[in-house]
Amino acid sequence: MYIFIGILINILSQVLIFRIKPGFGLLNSLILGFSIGLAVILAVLLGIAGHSDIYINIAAYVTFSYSYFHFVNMGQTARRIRILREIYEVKDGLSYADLLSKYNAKAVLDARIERLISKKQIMEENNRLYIWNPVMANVAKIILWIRSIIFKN
Amino acid sequence: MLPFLFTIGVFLFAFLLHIVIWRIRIPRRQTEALLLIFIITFALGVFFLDRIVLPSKVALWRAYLEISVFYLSLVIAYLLSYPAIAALSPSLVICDIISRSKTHGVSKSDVELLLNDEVLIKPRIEDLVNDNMVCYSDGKYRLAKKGRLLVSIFVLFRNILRIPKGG
Repeated sequence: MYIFIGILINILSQVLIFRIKPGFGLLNSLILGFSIGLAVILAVLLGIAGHSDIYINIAAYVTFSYSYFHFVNMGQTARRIRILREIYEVKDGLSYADLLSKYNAKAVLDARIERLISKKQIMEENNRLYIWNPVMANVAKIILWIRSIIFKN
Repeated sequence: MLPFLFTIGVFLFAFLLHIVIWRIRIPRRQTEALLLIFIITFALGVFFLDRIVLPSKVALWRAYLEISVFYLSLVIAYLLSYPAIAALSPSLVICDIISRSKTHGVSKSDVELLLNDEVLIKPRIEDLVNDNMVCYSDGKYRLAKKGRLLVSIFVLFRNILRIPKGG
């Protein structure tokens, strides 16, 4: 199916771009990979005579691409993956205290705050943090709202 | 357009069912429960479409294939997003805390007080144990088979991209 070819091209393009030019940035490589895959799929779908439903195929491609983006993002930011990775590196396993010595809340917060400042989502002034660009704050409100619908408390 | 709308409809129905069940009682194995909901709802939806709405099966195999692939993409996307909704990404919580402070701002130490190991790390370890990714014995956490498989995929991928640990 064309979608899977598009996804494959998306992933291969992204990996190649990032390997050749890591300075380009992971997010930019994901966007470019997505665009290349989408261009290929559109060219194939629009080139096929009498294709019944372009919308569903493009929607599926976009959703799979989102999943790939999320997979890459999980590797970068997911706490569970990081915890698994810390345990993976120690043959004999880790106690709770050992795990915290390698990965803890302070490390999480330092990394996230630094990332948010570098992405200009927040700013630091006189040792206080302020919103710079409200995009992430608005996304947070939406996620918290969705969460309040799914979970009782 | 019908296959697209049908798939969205089935997915939304499954999502509503998921909300209803979660508000009654959150399953211990949440990912497995979600998967079951999505699979059963899809099966029922296709049965309804096949037997009641479109009894003629002529030349519909392509539509069913497209529906299946699109539905699969939606399910995978939601299953990957769900942990971020359930566990609340620290980045989103930080932004929410700061935005609620409006012009006063928030100090880093205030954020650290609210988001400590008990809030950020311990529950994630418990999730991993509940999901059989990690087992706990003799005072240590060790990878279970499932956890080893999952982390191996990420380690391989990060080695291909040559990026550091993250978290």
